[in-house]
Amino acid sequence: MLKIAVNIPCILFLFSITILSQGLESNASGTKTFSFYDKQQKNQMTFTSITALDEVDGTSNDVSGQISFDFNNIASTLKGKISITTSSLRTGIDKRDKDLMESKWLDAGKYPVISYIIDSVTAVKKISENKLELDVIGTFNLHGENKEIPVQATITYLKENSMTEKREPGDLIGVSANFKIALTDFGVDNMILGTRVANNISIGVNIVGTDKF
Amino acid sequence: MNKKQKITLLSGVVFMLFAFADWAVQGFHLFTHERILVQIPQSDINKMLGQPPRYNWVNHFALGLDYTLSAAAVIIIISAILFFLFKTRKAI
Repeated sequence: MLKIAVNIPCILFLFSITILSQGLESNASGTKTFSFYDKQQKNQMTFTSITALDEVDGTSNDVSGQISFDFNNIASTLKGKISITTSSLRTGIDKRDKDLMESKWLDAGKYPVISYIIDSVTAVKKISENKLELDVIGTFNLHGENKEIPVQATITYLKENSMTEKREPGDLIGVSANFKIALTDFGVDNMILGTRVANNISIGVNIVGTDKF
Repeated sequence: MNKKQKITLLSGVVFMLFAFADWAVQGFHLFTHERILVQIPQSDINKMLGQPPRYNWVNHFALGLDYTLSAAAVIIIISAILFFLFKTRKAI
């Protein structure tokens, strides 16, 4: 009985190593960096606010940033930062876009960038040879405030070939992530919050990065 | 209520119904939209990279409740004025 009890931590340690050391199958070795800067603005961040009165769908196509990781051990090597410019947010109504940039909302003049910095990876699940599902913890920065936000992301890797060249040169990585934030956590508190604009905003990030930049 | 007043009242109600029907058909928006999001065809490479469909803004006027209520208010005012003007005046 004592022997089993002593072995439990060892089993748990080996199990976590096995789970977290899953990587993408690639000929690449060492740490690789991918850039999401996209002149053609094909990368997109979407956001949705749903209240009983109104649904607001918005986008930003001005996504940039970099991530880097070791192919053989993504869990402990994944680092990076993804940003968008606050002024690039669009909701389909010019007046509302203008209001969104003002000090009573996101204050684009004072806080021109919204960003997410990856802090750690808590779980890795291999979906296929070139696709992983990750649970990431990172710091979301909005309106000058930082808050730790968990994000579930899917990473798909494609080695450079005739098809990938049509989009961008280099090996490509596709990242899809969805998460929620509460505006009040970031010091955004407006009279119409909760009625016309929801406090909880759903965010989707769909971006493709290249290692040739 | 004379015949002209009845026609005015009926026309006002019909115009208002048209305004609200148009608002409903265009998506029950609270505010009038100048642009709407349209899903664009997804490329094969994006599918391979696990990317969901992407959306683009296209110029499109989508009537909201704000403009609909304004139009309804204008219809009510005009109908009320006409209703008053068409009132049968009794000869003294």
